[in-house]
Amino acid sequence: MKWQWHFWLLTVLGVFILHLTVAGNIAIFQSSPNFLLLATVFFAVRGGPVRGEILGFIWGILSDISSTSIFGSQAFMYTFIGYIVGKLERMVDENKLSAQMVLVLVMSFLNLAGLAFFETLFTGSAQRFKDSYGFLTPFYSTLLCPLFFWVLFKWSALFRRTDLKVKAL
Amino acid sequence: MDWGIFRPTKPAALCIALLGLSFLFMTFRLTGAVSNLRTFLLYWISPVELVTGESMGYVSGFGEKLVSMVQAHRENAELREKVLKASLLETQYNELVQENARLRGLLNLNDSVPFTAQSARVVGRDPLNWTHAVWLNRGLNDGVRRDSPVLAVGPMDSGAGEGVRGLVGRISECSGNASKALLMSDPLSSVAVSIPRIGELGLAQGQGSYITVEYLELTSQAQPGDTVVTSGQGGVFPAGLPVGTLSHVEVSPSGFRRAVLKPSVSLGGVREVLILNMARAKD
Repeated sequence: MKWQWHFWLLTVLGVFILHLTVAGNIAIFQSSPNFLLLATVFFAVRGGPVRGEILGFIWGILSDISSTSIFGSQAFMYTFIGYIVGKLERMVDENKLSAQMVLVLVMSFLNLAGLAFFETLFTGSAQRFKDSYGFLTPFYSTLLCPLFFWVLFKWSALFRRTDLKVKAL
Repeated sequence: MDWGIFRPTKPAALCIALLGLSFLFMTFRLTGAVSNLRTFLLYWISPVELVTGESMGYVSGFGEKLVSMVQAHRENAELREKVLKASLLETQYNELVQENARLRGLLNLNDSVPFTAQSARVVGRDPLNWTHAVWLNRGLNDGVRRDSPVLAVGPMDSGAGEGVRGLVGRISECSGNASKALLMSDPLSSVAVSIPRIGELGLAQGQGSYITVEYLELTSQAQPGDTVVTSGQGGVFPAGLPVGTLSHVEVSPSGFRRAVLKPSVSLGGVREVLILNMARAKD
């Protein structure tokens, strides 16, 4: 039980810190990969909807606090994505990388669309999403998805997570 | 009835609860309760942002630091000479300040808003909104307050050493040892500006990836290349801070003229800034 808490605490903080530090520093054309979304998809595919939505909510709130987006919008989107992907866990082969890459691409665009929708709903216009470079983010995240999933897979294996489907990528 | 993935289950109920909570945060984000919650969480997160940002700064700038060390030795000698000259200028400056105060007194003019300045470093950016906000390594403990103006400092184009290059934005949130600055390009940012050449006032409005100067008169003589500075109206920014130059003037749908502004500094690459701590009435 003790390991359980260690694992999740370190994972939540580790991914968040990685997102804050690395994502910005490897930005191309002002677009950076969304590690929080990638991690939400990874754990939702392997852990089911409950893990997906709880982790998505926590990372979303953390991201909301550290960014200038509408407070709660990222929490909403990551929770939603965590749930949807978690429910799709039986349909998506967690060992098939191409399927997961497509899933990440679709979810990244869903995330962008959702955030733009909330921006429009609460501020009247989605000014932040008019920048064409923003549309590179889903592709960038998708490209980094295999490497990032491999890191998370190794990390989970390090803690011998038998409750996660971390067989082989 | 087949509900598919939307079949009512415990995970679905939890999902709806979390989505509802998130939506409540969005709806009531400007109320005291949610703002306080956000400030409380920011208090715990800002050290993480600060430490990681500083660490990355040291790692990513290692090569630059080595070169800087070599250059610093050479610059040190030049600066010693400049300091000697500066002491003479300081004497002249003090005399001018006294003369200015005496003349203002004669004309019954109010004192301009006094402010002090402190330097800060950019330690992080919002990965999702690169040109909208930056994290700085100064906070409430350093005297930084909300709405304090933030300026970029660096080598001047004229070659006259280091100086204020232009306005970057304002402080939007503060915690103990860190603060978040809203950049001019953010859609929430508005700055009262003037065009000194023609004496006209306008409003610099962030548009996401660019900035416009709104509400110029239809008969405005503003043209590309005109310098834009803060007007001092609104009480947030002191007058005369360089903001940028106009690059394109057009008629906006609102019936006014509008100009696209090229900022004095590249907002995407700003690293060192100056925070002005202004004495405000509410302080």
